[in-house]
Amino acid sequence: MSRKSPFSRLSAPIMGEKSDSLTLARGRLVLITAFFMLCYLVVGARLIDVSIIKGYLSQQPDAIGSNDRKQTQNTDGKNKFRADIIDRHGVLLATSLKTASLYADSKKILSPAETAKGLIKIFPQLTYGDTLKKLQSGKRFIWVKRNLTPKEQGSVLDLGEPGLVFDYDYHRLYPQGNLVSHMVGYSDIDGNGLAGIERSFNALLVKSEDPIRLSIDVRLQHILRREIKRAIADFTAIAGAGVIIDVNTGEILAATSLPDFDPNRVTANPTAPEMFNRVTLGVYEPGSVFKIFTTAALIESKHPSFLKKYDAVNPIREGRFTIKDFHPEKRPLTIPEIFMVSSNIGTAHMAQEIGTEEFKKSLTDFGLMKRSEFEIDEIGKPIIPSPWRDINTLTASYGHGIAVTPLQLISGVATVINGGLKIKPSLVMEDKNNQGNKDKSELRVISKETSLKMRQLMRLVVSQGTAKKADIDGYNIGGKTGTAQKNIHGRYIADKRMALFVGAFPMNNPKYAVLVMVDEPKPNKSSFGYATAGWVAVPAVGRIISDMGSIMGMRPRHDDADIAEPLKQFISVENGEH
Amino acid sequence: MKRFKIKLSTLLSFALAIALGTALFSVSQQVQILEREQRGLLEQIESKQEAMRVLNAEWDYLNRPDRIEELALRYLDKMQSVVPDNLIKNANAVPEPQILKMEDEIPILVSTDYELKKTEKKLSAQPDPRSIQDKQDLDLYDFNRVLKKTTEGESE
Repeated sequence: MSRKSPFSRLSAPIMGEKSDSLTLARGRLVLITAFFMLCYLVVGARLIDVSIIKGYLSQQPDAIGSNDRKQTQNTDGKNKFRADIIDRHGVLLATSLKTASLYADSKKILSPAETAKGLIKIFPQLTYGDTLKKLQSGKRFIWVKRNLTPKEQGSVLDLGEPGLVFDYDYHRLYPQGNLVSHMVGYSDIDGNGLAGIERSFNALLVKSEDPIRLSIDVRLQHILRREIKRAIADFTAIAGAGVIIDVNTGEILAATSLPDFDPNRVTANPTAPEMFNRVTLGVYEPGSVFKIFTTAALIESKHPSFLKKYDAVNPIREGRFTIKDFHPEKRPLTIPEIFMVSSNIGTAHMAQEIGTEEFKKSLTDFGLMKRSEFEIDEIGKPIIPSPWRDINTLTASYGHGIAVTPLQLISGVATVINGGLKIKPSLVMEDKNNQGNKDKSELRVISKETSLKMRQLMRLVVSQGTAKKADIDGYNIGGKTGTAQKNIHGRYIADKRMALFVGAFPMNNPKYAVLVMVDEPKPNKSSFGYATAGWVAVPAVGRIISDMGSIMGMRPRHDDADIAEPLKQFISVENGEH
Repeated sequence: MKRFKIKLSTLLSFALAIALGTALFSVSQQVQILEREQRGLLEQIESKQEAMRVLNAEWDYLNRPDRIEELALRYLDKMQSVVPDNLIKNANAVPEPQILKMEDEIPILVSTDYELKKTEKKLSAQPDPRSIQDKQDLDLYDFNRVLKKTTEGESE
């Protein structure tokens, strides 16, 4: 029995007088043996765990991935992920891509010559000698190339050189290039926003994963930019700006300032002309476009009859100022006539009738007297005469001696024509689920009747007045032109102008307003020596609205009555004179 | 000497301890394996998402409006850009392509009786209320419908 089982001895009886102590000793031995056996068992199990399960299985492919992730986490601190910026239809305006940067550990390079040969094939800008020297230097960390494309990374991996190592960080990319540069802005290599939305929403972009949705539509943005670019080229102008706004919600559908820059490669210094945002930061004298506000203020406060005539014969002289007309009519004019032929004298008389205080109050209501609120930080402060004397009321009535941003101007015009409700221009869409249903403003600035009259007057300008070149059949476009002399260092220069046109459509129930501004247009042959808004900015707006209408799916309505028709009875001007 | 007899309960508890130990060990191993698998999957997801971001960026880069416009000008020289008056209210107002119907009619006009029957049969086997493009797209992906249609055709 004792031979059969090795355990039989454990319990075999021990005889003799010291049997008790022997049994005790054996018991202890058994316990100790059992304890050690247990220990070996644990060690054995642990060996299996470490060598087979952890050792063998962790050589499976995912080990490389885990290595990868560790590196990303390390670099997270130095180059942060920024959330995307998208347009209203989800097109990327700015995105962050994880890119690999290549460095070499020369201690681990197997064959420097081969590697250098391979590398210069992938990156033609590297030279063989220089690369080889670096790879043999014995240094542990040598930058080879920052921000590789996936294709380049693939080719480097194909070299199969263990000494070439990737470091991952986020690289900001603007797929649309120049298109939306001023609104989206740009960020530096460390991921700090330096302009536009990138700057004003920097904190949110760094924190959030969700993209910021702008109200910009890249297609409209492209049309606007193309047409302004064309106007600048045709009239050898120095710059231009344009805005398309939804007149009911205040959403900016497109906004461009030319010249512009490519946010992917910002090399110019921040004060260079292409970095300047003319839409929101630049302030310009609006010229005759301002007559919209003067006329609206007069109709709202005094309810004048359209039969009433204002003197437009004698230039107004006050102090050192003389107010003259560009195309003098030399006869008393009714309000529709003054608005249509853009008479400065008539408008100045209208402003006199409103009175300085009332006029200033109206301009404040239209949001023209102080810096507007907007989602980007580059916002210009309007230049308001100070102190405001009565003569300033007269000149400001036709947009002279007062300067506002194009954004303020178009927001004010939108307020006038949308039925009189004040709108706040906005660039960021409020809610993804609620898109296109932004609540209408509740703040009434002028009455519905005044708004309707203004729409009729603006329609008249396009159907019969200075902006006939923007009249697209079926869209009922209305607007107002303005040509302002440029004021450089406090002096007005006769042959340097700003051509400006604000158009809106359809005038029966306005949806969109378009502003085009061209800086220093020079006359060309096709414009018969003119470089006024009617020749420069108006045709551009016409083309923009024509292209825009088909993109927005707005069918032309040829059957609709022209809302300017009732005004024709107040007009006795011979058309086609100018 | 009775002291050294191992009690059944002791044996049982030993066995239980070993069994529990083994079970615990294997469970912990399984957990580790699953965790590793999960880590791998997460990394795969992450890299796929990263790849999607790259592809999205590339897609929007290639679809820049100015590039599309340039390509359209270069390659679609027979087509003109849309003007507002081209817009119509509903898609049904677009005239149907007439060429296909003509092609069907030609063999009927010139063929003998025998061939005429053949073409008729062909037409009745493919009832097609939808427009041409839709059908092609659906047929590619809707296998059940194709299967049903072919079996129906056979039974006829």
